[in-house]
Amino acid sequence: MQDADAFAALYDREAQAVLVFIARRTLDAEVALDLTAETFAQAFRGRRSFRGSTEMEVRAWLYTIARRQIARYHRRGSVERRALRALAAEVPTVHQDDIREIEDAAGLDELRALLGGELERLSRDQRDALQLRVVEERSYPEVAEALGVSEQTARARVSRGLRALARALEPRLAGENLR
Amino acid sequence: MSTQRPRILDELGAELVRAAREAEVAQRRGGAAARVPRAVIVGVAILLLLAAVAAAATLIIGRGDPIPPAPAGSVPPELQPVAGTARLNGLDVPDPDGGPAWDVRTSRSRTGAICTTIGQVLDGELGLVGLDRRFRALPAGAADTCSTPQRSGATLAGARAFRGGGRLTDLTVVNGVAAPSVRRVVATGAGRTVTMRVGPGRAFLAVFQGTPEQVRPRLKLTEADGGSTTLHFADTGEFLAPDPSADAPWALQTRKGAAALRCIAAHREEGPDSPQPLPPGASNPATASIPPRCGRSDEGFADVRRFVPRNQRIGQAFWWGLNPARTVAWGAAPDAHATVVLRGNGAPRRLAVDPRSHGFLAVLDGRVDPRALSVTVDGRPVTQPVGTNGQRLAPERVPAWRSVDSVVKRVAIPEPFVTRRDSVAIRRHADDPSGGPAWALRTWSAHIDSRVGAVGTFGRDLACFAIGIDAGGGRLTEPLAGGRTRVVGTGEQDGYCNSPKWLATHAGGPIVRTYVDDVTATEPHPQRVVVAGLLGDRVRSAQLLGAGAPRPLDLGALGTFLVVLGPDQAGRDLKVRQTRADGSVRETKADGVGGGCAVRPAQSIRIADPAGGAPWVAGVSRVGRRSCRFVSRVIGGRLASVFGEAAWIAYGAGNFSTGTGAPFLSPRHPMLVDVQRPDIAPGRPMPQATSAPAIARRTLPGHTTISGYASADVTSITLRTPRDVRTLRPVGGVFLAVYDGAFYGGSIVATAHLRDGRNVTERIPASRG
Repeated sequence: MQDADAFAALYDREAQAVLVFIARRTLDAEVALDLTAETFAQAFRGRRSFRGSTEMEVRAWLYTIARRQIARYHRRGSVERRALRALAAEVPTVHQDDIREIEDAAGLDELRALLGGELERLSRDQRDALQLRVVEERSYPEVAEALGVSEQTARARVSRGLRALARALEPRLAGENLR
Repeated sequence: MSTQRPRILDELGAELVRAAREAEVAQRRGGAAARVPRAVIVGVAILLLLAAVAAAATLIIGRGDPIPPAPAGSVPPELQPVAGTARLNGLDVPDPDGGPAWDVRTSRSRTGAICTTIGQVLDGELGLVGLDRRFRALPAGAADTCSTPQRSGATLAGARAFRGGGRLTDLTVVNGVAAPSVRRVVATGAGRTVTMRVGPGRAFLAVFQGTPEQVRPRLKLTEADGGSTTLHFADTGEFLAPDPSADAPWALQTRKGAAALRCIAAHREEGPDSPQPLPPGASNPATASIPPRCGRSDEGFADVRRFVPRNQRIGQAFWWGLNPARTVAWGAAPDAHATVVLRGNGAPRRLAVDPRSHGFLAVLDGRVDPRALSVTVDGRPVTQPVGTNGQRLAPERVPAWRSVDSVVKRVAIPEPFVTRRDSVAIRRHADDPSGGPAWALRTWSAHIDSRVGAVGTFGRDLACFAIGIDAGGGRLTEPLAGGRTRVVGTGEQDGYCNSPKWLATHAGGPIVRTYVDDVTATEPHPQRVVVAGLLGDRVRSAQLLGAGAPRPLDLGALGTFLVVLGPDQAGRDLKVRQTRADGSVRETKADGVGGGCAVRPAQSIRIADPAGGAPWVAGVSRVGRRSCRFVSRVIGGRLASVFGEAAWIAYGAGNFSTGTGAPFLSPRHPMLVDVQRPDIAPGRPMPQATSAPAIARRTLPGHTTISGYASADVTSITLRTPRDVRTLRPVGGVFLAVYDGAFYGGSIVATAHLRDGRNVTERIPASRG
């Protein structure tokens, strides 16, 4: 993927899969479009440092960038637009109908229901710990204080809860990385 | 999961590939940046960073006096924060102009509502950097808005506009308070997505550069259970298509047609060039629109037309007026996924299809020949559309392209009131008892240009007069707000004109202007009262009544008179008693005074002016059998009106209606809502901010008032506007909310909450529509 034509072909081939991949991990259509845009912008800007040659290698590289964007988004709660700015590219304005189309394409309604169901299956301790740490973004000392347990126990509950959720959801999300 | 590819991906792809190609071309050319050694680039970057820091430090040029709180009695209990409940949310949102960071102060009102005040934090103090780049603290015990706590979604949400000027840009500040169940708040606008931090008071805030109509902000609040609420502010959710000017877009609309017909029309939204601004002498009252075109809902249809300025026939169901020429292709596809392609203007172009109406729309420059264009739906030519009645459309000749300028030159009447220069003369003088300069009254004759249409039974001749401070040499000047003055001319806008024929049979009245020390102040103080008039030459003598003992008026030519009274005469009901040549005696009073309109505390509500001016009041009153419903300013305890830049006020209700009955309310319609919009439309160039409060608060010119009357069964009313959400409690059945500036699209939604638990909602277009 050395020039703009190859980039256009890559986008045409992979854009929808990347958008769905991100949307199912952020559960937000608008954020997913932003992160998709930044992922492709970063891919274009980093094309010279990419050494792969097969289609599978290109795809793996693209998803590596996408995962990095998702992780960064979850960590900071904001969408990075560095590569987009450097390229002077604008993300189009998203309208309600676009959101519906992205949500349909990513099956977000079903996934949200699934996530809610899996949260219910967790033990009360784990659910409360996840609620405080992941949803309310409290620090571990705060989680510990709120639950009346030691910080170490709070960490363990959060960790176990996340693993249980991941186990439950992985069969649904597995295989979406690479077609 | 659907396999349908979201259409926005194509839009994004086109943009990314465009940017990629441009980047590639720049690199091939070996742009300067590519050849500059890395160390130099780092050095430049550091310099830029230092420059940015310096800019931030120099944005503020000092502190001004704190912004004063609203006067006592003008803040209802539900908008009064309880002392000690206020706290900043520590949101620390950077200011795009490099000023202090933005934050939200949350507090609790006396009625248990949640209140917010937004501003910038300097040294731990909440305030605003004004257009003069001075920081002023906001009053500690005041709130911008308050609302009843909500269990989900937003307790408060809005998009507030701060005007720019000098080094400050126009800002749109999206802000609010999230309900406890909300886990994430995301604002989007101007192509930017911001996930906002929620502070300890559940407040959030994001700052966008640009006016709300440029930013079109949208707010999404996601609940813990995954559900979400999306709030649109300057975005009506309509299907939009761009205009070639790149300014205000076009909005697609569906229209009713005969059975089994689907009809598509469109109009252009308001913006800096919509309606097209015109020179004096021509007017363009509305944005352009195109007529409905209809077809069967199971087949594609389209029409392609050229619309040119002033080419309209009476009875056509659209308006083009003096807006620039456009060639428009519009119609509908059988389904939302159809492929609609426009050919004949460069490369074939795929048109987006509105998923709701299945309509589509492409607006091209008016020079494009519509006969060269063709539209296909799923590869097949479209059928010819019909009218809303199902009848075939009569063939139309394609009009030749023409510019707005060429039409304006032909039709404009720059001065519809033609002044007879040799008739201009100073007729009266009057000294100011307060010691100010002398005043003068000038008259002139004029006639209405013959190109102006019908003028009624009193003919085209006019007798006009104007008043002002005598500046010598026949010149008059008028004091304006902020200590400025303007020269008074002899045009239509400079004076008062009446038909001599009308004055021959009718009694003319006085004009009364009460000049005040500072018209933008919360409590302006009268300085002098100027009373003048032109009664016509059939009046033998006249007296001024209401200012102490009857005062004979010294009448000049054309029955003119001019009197300047001291401030102690302000607010009196002045009348002129005239004895006419036929011996009859008539009494007239100043225009615009609402008889029977008065402030009754139990039946009126008073609230502070958002720009720091005189408070607003809405109410009902009754004198004898006459009732009055009004929305007005209140100055010195009396109803009064304030007029833009003028330095004078007039006593009497600004906006009132009188009648003999009460407002009609029923269980199904328990409230009446009235919206008064300012003359300045959103998106149009704003007049310069000149008053001290407007400079300090960066408020928008003009006011939007939402007032109404509710039955005794209504306990509260929630108003959702493009600016905010607020819950009001009617006083004596009256409610009122006042905002600075105009709203910019979207809706005003008023929900009446009744004692029996029912809610009744009314929706009104927020902009002038």
